Order: sequence, then structure tokens, then C-alpha cells
Amino acid sequence: MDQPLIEVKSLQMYFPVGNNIFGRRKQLKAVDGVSFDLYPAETFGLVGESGCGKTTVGRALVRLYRPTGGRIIYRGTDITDLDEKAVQPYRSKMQMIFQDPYASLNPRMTVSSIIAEPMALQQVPQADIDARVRELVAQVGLKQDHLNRYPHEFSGGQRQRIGIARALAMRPEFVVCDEPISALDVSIQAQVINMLEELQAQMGMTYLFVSHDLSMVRHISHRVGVMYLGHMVELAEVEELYSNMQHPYTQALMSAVPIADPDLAAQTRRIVLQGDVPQPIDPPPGCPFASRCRYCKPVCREAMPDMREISPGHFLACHL
Amino acid sequence: MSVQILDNNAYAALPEDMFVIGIDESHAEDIPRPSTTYWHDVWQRFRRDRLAVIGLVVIVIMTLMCIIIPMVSPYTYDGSDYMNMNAGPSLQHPCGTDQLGRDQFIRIMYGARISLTIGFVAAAINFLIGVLYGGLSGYLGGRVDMVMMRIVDILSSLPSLLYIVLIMLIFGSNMGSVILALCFTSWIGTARVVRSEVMHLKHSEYVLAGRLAGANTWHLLIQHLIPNAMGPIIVSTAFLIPGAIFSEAFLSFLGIGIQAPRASWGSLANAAIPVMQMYPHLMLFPVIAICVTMFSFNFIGDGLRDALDPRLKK
Ligand SMILES: Nc1ncnc2c1ncn2[C@@H]1O[C@H](COP(=O)(O)OP(=O)(O)OP(=O)(O)O)[C@@H](O)[C@H]1O
Ligand SMILES: [Mg+2]
Repeated sequence: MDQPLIEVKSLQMYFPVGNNIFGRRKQLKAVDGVSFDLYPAETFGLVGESGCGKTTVGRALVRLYRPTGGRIIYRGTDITDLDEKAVQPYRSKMQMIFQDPYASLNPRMTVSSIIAEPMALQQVPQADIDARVRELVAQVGLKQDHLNRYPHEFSGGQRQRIGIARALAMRPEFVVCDEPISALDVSIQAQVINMLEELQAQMGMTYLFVSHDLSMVRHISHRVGVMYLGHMVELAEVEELYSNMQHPYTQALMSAVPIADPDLAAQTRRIVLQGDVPQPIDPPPGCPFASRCRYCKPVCREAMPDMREISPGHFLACHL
Repeated sequence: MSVQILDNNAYAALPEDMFVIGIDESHAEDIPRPSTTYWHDVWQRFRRDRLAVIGLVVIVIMTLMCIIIPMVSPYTYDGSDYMNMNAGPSLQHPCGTDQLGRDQFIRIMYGARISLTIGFVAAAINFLIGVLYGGLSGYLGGRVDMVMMRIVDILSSLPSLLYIVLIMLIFGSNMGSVILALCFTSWIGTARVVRSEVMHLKHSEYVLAGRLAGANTWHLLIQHLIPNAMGPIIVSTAFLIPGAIFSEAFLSFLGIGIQAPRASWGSLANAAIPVMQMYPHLMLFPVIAICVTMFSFNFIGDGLRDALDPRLKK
């Protein structure tokens, strides 16, 4: 394969939580040792339960957070510890589409100034900005007379289009799509997904596509990573993962996907997870999934399983 | 959704274009509602509050009067009419005259100039300092925020009369030092409001988007954070104005504010004390002026609060 666009090496993002005057300062291990590579023009799906650290990975990659450990290598340059100013040249090639189309647009700015903001901040001449804004608006399927309106006048799907136009303004190479469709109606979801795919075909961007929706991830991704409690537990090409899933957590997650065909649905058994999700604050040693795993062995509670390649391109972190 | 996952074999059998979901994208997502901005909505809500509108009208009239009347009136604030001393209200002197035969009405108008100037200037200074201080403290957070807030705590625990008297002694009894004295700590309230708003807003996704777009702290504050915190900022500023006006009147009444022959509502009331029983009008009119102004500003403040933040409405 080609050179990776981004290499993520045992990324850690710990957040300090709780009281820091009295007693020990606790750490919430939102992401703890996640590694993967992103290749040019691919879509990498990231799935997992709510709170497993998907958003945190996405935000750390575009350096909205400063990782507490690990490395992020962008086209061969280590950008992990660059400060806000130094990271800017890289960041204008990396953008993000946010989860909540209602919170991601400044309600006091017009659509045109929202889309133009990244260009205005990079000192693009005003005439070029105007032309590019018009082009973007057409590209994402909005109308020119929407430009002078405010975000609250738009539906969720339209707002998400505005957010996409803003993300594309500087022609990024890499876009984090953080559950871009989870807040939208089903019919609008399809439109937005189709549009993201078209844009990728036109511009050759790399997507990190975060989602709960496993069928959507299967549809859009080339490779998929499964996260559990801040760890990557399984990673494979999409068809390999969906047909030959190995990790007990992946199996449980997949079995929860509703199946359209009633005959098939009758044959398939849902795996219902037992036990509680442990808190990522001071987690016990061993495999993070041990407390809920059907196949849990003593070793699972003692040592963290390493990520190993069980077949070419298929990585698994499990003692089984 | 039509992108349903069957089992793997069923999936493989499906043609790829089945997943380009057939939705007519041209169906116009038109917007029927006329474009209204946030400030337009605020004005609509404010307009419905009758007391607030009356307050606003009173303040506008008072502002116009205190600008225009001293320019066209035959009287000045220190000119004496020796034919009419301590006269009651008449056509010639609508609010009567004082012990030196000075027209009380024109003196009240000059007092209004002082009161309104102090009110607006103090509010503007408080706004500026409070927004910057609170905004930076809230946005930077962490240790910087801790230090900045402790400084504010110390300042606000100083006894106000002490530093006010000191400032008046050092800089003399004029308008500038009154404003300085009044602004010394009153921005703290605004700063705290702005800080808590900014701390809340800085985690919004549009602020993250701004950072991705390459915005520095300053741009984020000016473009994203402060405009969205404007409602509470305006409300806290609106209530600062009557506070400043009253404090000035109070200081002048005690004799440490604006001094004679210059007229402030407080010093007019002070001068009326010895003769209050014989010439009650000398006390009556300045006090009415103070009350009307205070009420008007407070009504405006209430109206703004309800209009800017409908959630706070009782
Ligand atoms: N800024 C932060 N400070 C402290 N804790 C945080 C912060 N951001 C996230 N967390 C915590 O980190 C964990 C992972 O959060 P994250 O938002 O990455 O999950 P997610 O997988 O995106 O979940 P969802 O599917 O609900 O969006 C959660 O327990 C969350 O509470
Ligand atoms: Mg998330």
C-alpha cells in the first residue's frame, strides 16, 4: 500500500477529573493506547459504544486536544506536541464535521461568514473567498440565497451541509466525520452520506468516519476499527471484519444490528452483553472487556492483550 | 433505512448502486419563514413589555432635554435672578428658584447631563473591562483563571467607601474622579457573568470549528464567544447604569461628589436640606428626577433581561 497519510501510534488521551486540591488527581483514560494508520483517499470507520472514546480520537487527530501520550505522524511529520500556532499549517489540511448540527454553527454568524471563516483567517483575498463560497454552496446542494441567512433558519440536514461546506473550504486532505448523520432524519442521512461519498470521489479526501450505525459504516468504509473503552479491540478491512469478526465485543456489537429479512433474523441470535461498562477512571488491569466477556479466562483479568495480526490486515487484541 | 445489513452473502449479492439511495435531492428545502435575526427577535419581545418601553421613552426624552434645553434656555446653571429668590414653581421658573435665585429647572437639566453621562460612561467602561477580563479568564481557564479570579475576589472585598473617598481626595471632586471611583470595582460583576458564560461556551462545537479554522484566542473571543454571551452581558450592564447614577447622587449628597456651583441631583438635594421645611420644592424636584431615572433604567433592565433571555422570565 502507499505511504500512510496519518500514522497513529499508541495514542493516549487522559483527562484530569475530579478534585485537584484535596487528594489525588484522578485521570479519565478516554483513549488508552490506540494505534492505526490512515491511507490517502480511504474511509476508516470507527465504531463502538457511546463513551468509548471515538470523538476523543477524532479530536486528538486534528489536534484539538494535545494527546497525553503516543504519537501522531502526519505525512511523516510528528505533530503530537506542536503548539496551537505551529500545528496550524497541518490543521488547515485537516478538518472536522461535527456530530451536532445545532451546536456546530455559531448562531450569530450568517451562512456565508461561517463558510468563509477558515479562508478569512488564512488571509485569502476577499474576491477569492466570495467565489469559493459560491462554489462550495453549490457543491453541498444549498442555494445562493441561503448565504445571508442565519443557522437557526435551516433544518438539521441543511445545517450539516453548511458544516460540510465549512470543512471543505480549505480543500482538506483529511476530514474527521464525527457521527455526521446521527442527529438527522433517515431520509436526510442518505442524502448526506451520498454527498460525502461524491465529495470524496471528486476530491480524494481521507475520512475518519465515526458512527454508531454499523450498517452505515459498512456501506461507507474501506476499513473499520472497533473501539471499546478507550482501546482498539479489532481492526480489519470492512468485508473481512463483517464476515469474520473475532473479538467477542465485535460479535456482540454486530449481533445488535437489526436485520431486515425476518427469516434471517430468526436464525441469528442476539448476544446480549452482561455486566456493566467499567468507568475509564482507574480501570482494572487486564483486558478492558473482561468484565462483560462470555469467554473470559483468568489471563484476561491480568494482562492487557496486545494487538496482533491474525491474518493480513486483520488485527485483534484478545487472548483467545 | 434502506442501507440494511443482511448477512454477508446477501450483502455481496446486492449491486453497488443499490446503496446510492434514491432520494430526489432537488426537493426544495425552502425556508418559508422570513429571515429574522436574533436582534430583531429581541426587539420584538422588548417592545411587548410596556413598562420597559415607557422607561426607554422617558430616558430618551430626558437625554434630549438635557442636551437641548441648556442650549436654548435663557438661564444658566449659575446665573442668579435676584428678583426671584426661593420662588415657587411658576411659568417663568417651572421648578422654582433656589436661595441665590438660580433657576432650579435648568440646574436639574445640568444635573441630568452629569447623571446620564456618568451612567453611560461608567457602563461603557465596565462593559469593556468586564468583558475583556472575564472573557480571558474564562477562555484561558486553569491557573490563569484561578489567579485572575482571586485578584477579583480581593478587589471586591475592599470597603468601597474607603477607596471612593481616597480617590476623590487625590483626584479632586470632579466628574472624572467620580467615574474612576465608581468604576473601580463595579466591572467585577460583569466580569464574573462573562467568565461563566465563556467557560460554558468555549466547549461548543462552533468554537472548536473556529480553532480548526485557525482562529487565535482573540478572534475566538471577539467572533464567537462574546457575541454569544451578549445577552447576559447587556443585562448586567443595563443594571449597572442606575447603580452608577445613584452612587453619584449619593456621593454628591454627602458632599464628596460634584461640588457647587455645578449642579448634580445629589448636591441639589443636599443644598435643599437646610430650607426643606420652608421651600419643599427645592428638595422635591431633584428627588423626583432621581426616582424617575432609577425606575426607568430598572424597567429597561428588566425588559432587556426578559427579551434577551426568555428562559429567565418568571
Ligand atoms: N474534555 C473532556 N474532559 C473530560 N472527560 C472527557 C472529555 N471529553 C470526553 N471525555 C470523556 O471521555 C470518554 C470518551 O468520550 P468520547 O466523547 O470520546 O466518547 P464517544 O465514543 O465519542 O461517545 P459518543 O458515541 O457518545 O459520542 C467519556 O467517558 C467522556 O466522558
Ligand atoms: Mg462522540
